[in-house]
Formats: sequence, C-alpha cells, structure tokens
Amino acid sequence: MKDFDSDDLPAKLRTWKVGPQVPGSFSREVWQRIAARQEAREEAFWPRVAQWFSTQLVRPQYATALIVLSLTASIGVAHVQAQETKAQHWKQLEARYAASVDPLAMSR
Amino acid sequence: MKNGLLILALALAVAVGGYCTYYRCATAPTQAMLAAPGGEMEWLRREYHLSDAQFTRIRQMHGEYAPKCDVMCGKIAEANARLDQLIKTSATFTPEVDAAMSECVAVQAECRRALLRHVYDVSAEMPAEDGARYLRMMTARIVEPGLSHESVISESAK
Repeated sequence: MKDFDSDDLPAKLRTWKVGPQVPGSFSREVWQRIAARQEAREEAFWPRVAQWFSTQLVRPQYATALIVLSLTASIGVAHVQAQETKAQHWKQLEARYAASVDPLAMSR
Repeated sequence: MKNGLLILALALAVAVGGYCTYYRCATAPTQAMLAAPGGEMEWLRREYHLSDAQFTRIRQMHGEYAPKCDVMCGKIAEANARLDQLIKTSATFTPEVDAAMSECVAVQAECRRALLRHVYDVSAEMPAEDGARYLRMMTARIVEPGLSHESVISESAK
C-alpha cells in the first residue's frame, strides 16, 4: 500500500505507454467482412424483388394499379410528343402556304 | 413469379398500345393535312378561324392569284438565269450585266408588289383580329425573307 503512495507513481504514469497488439491482418479482415456483408445485402435485394413480384404484384389491386399507372404515363408522354409533332406539322403547313403565294419562294 | 411477369408484360403492352393509339389519334388531323394536296388552304382556314363563306372567297382569290404567281415565278427564274449566264461569261461589270441585274430587281419588285396586294386582299376577308395576325405573318416573310439586319450585324461581328 505504501508503494502506491510513493512519489514515484506520477513519474511512472508519465512514462507509461500502452502499446495495443493489433494483428497484422486486422485491416484486411475488416474490409473483407464489410465486402462480404455488402455482397450478402445486394444478393438479398433481387430475391426480395422477385418475391414481391410473385406475392404482391399478383394481387388484383396492385396489378390494376400498375396497369392504370402505365397507361396514364404512356398517354402523358404521347400527349407531350403529339403536341410537339402537331406544332411541327403546323409550321410546315404555314411555310407551304406562304410558299404557295410567294413567287420568290417558289423560284428558289 | 410467372403471374407477376405476366402482369408486367400486360402493363407494358397496355402502355405501348395506349401510347401508339393516343399519338396516332392526336396527330392524324395535321398528318392528313400535310399529306393532302391542298392541305395549306385547310391550314389557313383553321389557323385564321375562317367561316365557310370567308373560306370560299379566299380560296377563289387564291385560285385566281395562283396562275399569276406561276407566271411571275417563271419571270424570276428567267431573269435569274439570264443574269447568271451573263455573270459567267463577263469578266467585268458590263452594261448588259447591269441591265440584267436591273431586270431581276424589277421582276422581283413586281412580284413582291403583287404578293403584298394579294395578302392585303386576303386579310381584308378575314375577321379583323385574324386578318391583322395574317398580315403580320405574311409581311414578315415578304419584308424579311432572309436574315434580319440585326442578325446580319451580329453574325458579322462574330
């Protein structure tokens, strides 16, 4: 007990150093484990999707919703593209009319 | 799984079918106008909201103007060809080249004058607002058939 109270203790504590013993392969093993877990997670994603398709999508409400959504989206895209096409056609017709009355345009 | 894929395929087929049907129906009228021989006159009728009576009168005016337009087109082509031939054979600016040049300008001015007169006549047959819009559209083409002055300046500044 007397040893602990000695004046040497603060000096000993100052000089005391902890040298943790880390195995040489520590870093490599950690990365391998991380990679393995990521791989396992990614592999599990597709089976889960497949499972969802086979169990949930076949339900009438999901199937109907998907079909209605697809139809709505496709009609939306078609509407936007049809507007652009119609505008192009309109411009072509305008140019055709102008050319039909303009002899200078006709002679070019 | 099979049923799921079947539903996916069905959704895809419905989407493609919907797209094609809608697109075709929506663009069919303008497509038909483009394909038809007198489609541009139908365009004029729809664009400027012409009544049947107005359209009949304008079509009649167009029919009367078309042969004159063809004749003017021929005159322009002839004058251009003559000038082109003279430029190719003359090494200097001869009085013949000058005369051919003047003829080209005169023929073009005559055509523009006739076109402008026709445009004014047509616009007078239209409803006031549409007539003004038609006049703006056509005069923009007559007055500025190519580049505008500003665009020429900005192009040359590059």
